[in-house]
Amino acid sequence: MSRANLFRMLFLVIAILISGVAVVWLKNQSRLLFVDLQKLRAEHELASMEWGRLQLELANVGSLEDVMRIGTGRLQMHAPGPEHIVVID
Amino acid sequence: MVARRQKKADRIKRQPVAVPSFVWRRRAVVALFVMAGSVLIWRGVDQQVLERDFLQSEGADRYLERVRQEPRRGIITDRRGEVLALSTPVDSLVADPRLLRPDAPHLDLLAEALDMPAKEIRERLERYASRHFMYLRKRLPPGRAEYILKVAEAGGLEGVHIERKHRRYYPEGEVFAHVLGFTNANDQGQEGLERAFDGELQGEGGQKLVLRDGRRRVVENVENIRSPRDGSNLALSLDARLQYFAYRELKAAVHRHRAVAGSAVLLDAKTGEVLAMVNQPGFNPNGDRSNKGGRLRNRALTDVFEPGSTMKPFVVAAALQQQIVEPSSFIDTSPGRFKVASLTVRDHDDLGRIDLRTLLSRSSNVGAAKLALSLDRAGYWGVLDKLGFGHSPLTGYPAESSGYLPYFRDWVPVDQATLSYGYGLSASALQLAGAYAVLANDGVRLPVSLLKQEAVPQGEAVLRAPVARAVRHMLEAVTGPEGTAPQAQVHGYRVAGKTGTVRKLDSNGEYSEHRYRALFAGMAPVSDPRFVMAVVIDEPRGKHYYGGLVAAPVVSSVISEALRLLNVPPDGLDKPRVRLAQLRGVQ
Repeated sequence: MSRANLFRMLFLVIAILISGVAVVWLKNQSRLLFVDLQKLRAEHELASMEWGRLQLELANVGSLEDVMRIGTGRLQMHAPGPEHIVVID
Repeated sequence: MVARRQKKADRIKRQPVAVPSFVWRRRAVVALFVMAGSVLIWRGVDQQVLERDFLQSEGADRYLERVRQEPRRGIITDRRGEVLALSTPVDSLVADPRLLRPDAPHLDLLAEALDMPAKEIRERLERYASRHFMYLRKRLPPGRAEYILKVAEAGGLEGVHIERKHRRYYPEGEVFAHVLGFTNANDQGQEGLERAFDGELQGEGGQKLVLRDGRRRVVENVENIRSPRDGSNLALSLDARLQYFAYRELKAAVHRHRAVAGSAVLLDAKTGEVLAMVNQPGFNPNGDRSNKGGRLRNRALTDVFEPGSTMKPFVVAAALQQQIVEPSSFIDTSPGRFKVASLTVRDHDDLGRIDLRTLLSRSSNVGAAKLALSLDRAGYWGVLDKLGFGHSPLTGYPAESSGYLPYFRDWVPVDQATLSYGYGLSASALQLAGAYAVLANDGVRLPVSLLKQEAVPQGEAVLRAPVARAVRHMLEAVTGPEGTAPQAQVHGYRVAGKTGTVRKLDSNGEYSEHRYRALFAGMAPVSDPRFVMAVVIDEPRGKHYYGGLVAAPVVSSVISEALRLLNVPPDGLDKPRVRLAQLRGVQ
């Protein structure tokens, strides 16, 4: 084996070793990141659960049916009749 | 020394060689090997055959597993962003009856936390003893399920865990029930828009690799295989406020007139968007979803009927379009009867010589029939066809009806006459509203849509603008004091429309004498229509059954709310408006 070939061989062997280590390292890195992602996803899930609950609560509290009932009932409100409306240009 | 050693060697040589027998030793060793082999084989059989189930299940508890990552189903909102359908995670508490034995200590604690008698839990655990899975309690609020799980773990109970699923909620309940439809237990669209747009709403599930422990709990998320893609959101063209008013008024009218069913559709005349679409009877999508009495049906889109007198504006429009008559023309309807082949067309009264405006305001069948027979068949059919009769509205809604319009080559004169007053064809409430929207939008037909439109879609000219305007102004007489529907008036605004009172078909194919359908289709404000509404009340069984008395008041109250909410300036004030300068006393 010539000297040049020997160097080439050595270089390739080192490259293989580096890429092998890199694969392992990246795989591990991706797992770690995935674990983080999973944590954030769980947080997101919790937050959106809360958001959904609040949305439903909002829809319940703000439902037109209730607003109408409270307005006309407890607060004694009513739409003004035509004689009480002044239209301005 | 040397001699002694020699002597000893000679003595040994001379002694006879006594070879010991190793038979017993050999047998013992062989027996040992056989025994060891048998033990191994026995153990193999034991593990492979006898203990197989136990070992396999133990093993299964300790391996890596691919788990689906659930996507979140998209939200459905109204045109203003109000949430109409929302998926939120709910937890179910499940037990593994192989781990949670009925005789487990502290089962009472769990029972107390679950608010269930311990006896019932024991019975169920015994019944499902051979299963891996059993529901303890379905659909708990998330915090509650975790609390109960903690109680179970504190009591040393094994085999209890939480199963998380998404459940769809419809905060507006029955008001939007027909339009939205609903999803099944797996959050897949079953009815309505949930089904029509299931693909977009659903998104795509992902996959991940997890490590589970003996209690099947996920110990570690190992690897992401594919990320989930959440479903996209859907913004409807409907306005939750208008939908609510429409629903309330329709429900009240159906109740008041003891009707079988009813539908109402409110359209935006300028964009073709559906602003409200309601039906009776209704159902609560968060509760019982059985289809008793066809209450799951979105009648406004799926049920077709003969539109009756509400078709009369279109024969007038076709006649004006073909320039057979002018807005000021007169038609002789006396003596209130008119024979077409074997059919006699009748009016309520002998109206004599009437103009087109009176034809519509007094709803003359004779006038409409005479006008229809004077029309070119192909031209008349062309107008009705372009108005959308006989065509699916293409909203994407499942099972929307296209109705029926007979082709003009198949018409006999009787058909041509009856079509003019709305018999011999069928349409849905949405199609009827769509056709009136053409009159409202100066003769241009816009595609109707249930989804919010970012821009006004490309329309198709069906009628010349002056024709549409002329018919619109004639229809204003219908809501006047002399017309059939003064009840459709809205204070401060000019309202145009047409009533219809249609005989229903009996099961023998004859028109019924006492089963009617009350209709009204109208628009406001007449000077520049913004809203178009069609109301159908099916079989009112109270004192009244006329469209003008049963359906028109619904249109009036819903449209008046719509005009107020959307700040449409009034066009029908009788007294002059107060100028702001006058009010403030400055010039």
